[in-house]
Amino acid sequence: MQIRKAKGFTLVELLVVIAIIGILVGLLLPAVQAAREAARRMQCSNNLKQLGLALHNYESAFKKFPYGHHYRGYHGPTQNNPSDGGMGYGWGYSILPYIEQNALYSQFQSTYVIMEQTVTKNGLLCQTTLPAFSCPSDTKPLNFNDGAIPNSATSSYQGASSSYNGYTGNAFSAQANELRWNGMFERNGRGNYGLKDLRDGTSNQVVVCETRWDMDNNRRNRARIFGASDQLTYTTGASNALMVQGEWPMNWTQPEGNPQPHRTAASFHTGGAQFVFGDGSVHFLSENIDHTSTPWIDNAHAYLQGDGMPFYGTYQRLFSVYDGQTVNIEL
Amino acid sequence: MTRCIGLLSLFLLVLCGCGPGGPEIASVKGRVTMDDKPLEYATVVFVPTSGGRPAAARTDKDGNYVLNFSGGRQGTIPGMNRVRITTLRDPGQDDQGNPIPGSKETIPMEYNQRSKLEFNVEQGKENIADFALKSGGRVQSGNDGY
Repeated sequence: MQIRKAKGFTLVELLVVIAIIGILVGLLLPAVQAAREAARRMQCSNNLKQLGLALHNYESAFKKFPYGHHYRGYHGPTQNNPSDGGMGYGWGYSILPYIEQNALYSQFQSTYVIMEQTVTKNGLLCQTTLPAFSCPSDTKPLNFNDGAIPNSATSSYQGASSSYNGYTGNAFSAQANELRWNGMFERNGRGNYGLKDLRDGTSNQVVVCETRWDMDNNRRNRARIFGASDQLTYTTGASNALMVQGEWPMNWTQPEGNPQPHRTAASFHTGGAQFVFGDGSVHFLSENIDHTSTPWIDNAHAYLQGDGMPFYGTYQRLFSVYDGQTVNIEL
Repeated sequence: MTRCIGLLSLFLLVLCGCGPGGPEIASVKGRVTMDDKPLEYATVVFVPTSGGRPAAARTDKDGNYVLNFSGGRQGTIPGMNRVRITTLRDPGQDDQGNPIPGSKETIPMEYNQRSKLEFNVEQGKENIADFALKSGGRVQSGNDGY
């Protein structure tokens, strides 16, 4: 009887080994790419956490959070009319001392509007890029030129303004209705909120949202760090550089039909975006979160939908500081 | 043979990880007219009454739309959907790069803020949802595009 000596591997054994290795590599490669994205997302969430802490430190010092956008107020020919243009400063400027940017903060001459470039360096300082305001997954350029905000440093993060869409009118007090402009940040005509004003509970309150580049074809998604003003003495139309609103579904782009993509929270992280909450925590929310895109009707219908309408959605409840509705969400 | 079965099951297990994320949706398209004329560049929003993410779209020049959901998917959550139609928008561009002018609200509240339009989206079929609107109702003012 002949005994077969095992000198090597048979063809079948080799093929099986190669197949197994192939499958393992096939598993690994996507995992490596996913790990890179996970790392970027983690860095982004760290950025947001720092912004949350900075806002809390600001609140400790002043008992109020900063205003979202200094849109109107006394800065015009007479220096005496509240409906004249504002200074254009945003919440990002206000928290600079709390993210260790004291040097930058003190170079701004805040008695001049933020885009002023002839007497002061304000306009140039607005071009200073800050990594803390950049999500590594965001494909935005570091600076971008568009009418309202010439060549200023871009941001991946914007304040949460209201659960309803839009702003009304240019008067100083136009945004004073706290039911309509019900979010954490608002134009300076409304008045600022402190922690005690987040009456639904700080952990049920979205404070800062992610935004991203390429929300729209002409890149009007124009998040900026420091502020925004159209003209040197007259601020108009650039609050969407500093604040987003909760009416439109997350990550809904203009090619998909969004009429106001620059006022919509979004990110390049798959399936949702990250948010700073009022307690300083950072959470990833799914883009499929319960949401009703409820438009504003009047004070009597704030947060309510009669006529069998779907109830005010969870996403909007996170935006408004006091809707009195419970939030059921696993964070 | 056992090895082959083992490999095959491993392969199938790997495949299980693939596939679109998010809830089940059904595709919806249709046409919107105002007084029998096509309504261009209007925003159509479908809000599922059972909760979840709304789906929305913009009508083209001929009033046609195809609903978009999240993650590049097209459709909406099946079941009863409350439909709202609005023309309030900022200036922008369509997917071919043609400019879309900004617009104030022109749709009466009965199709919009106080909409009673409903559409039952059926699972597993291509839903056609056409809406014929009539002007004349009260239009909500006070929301500007900026």
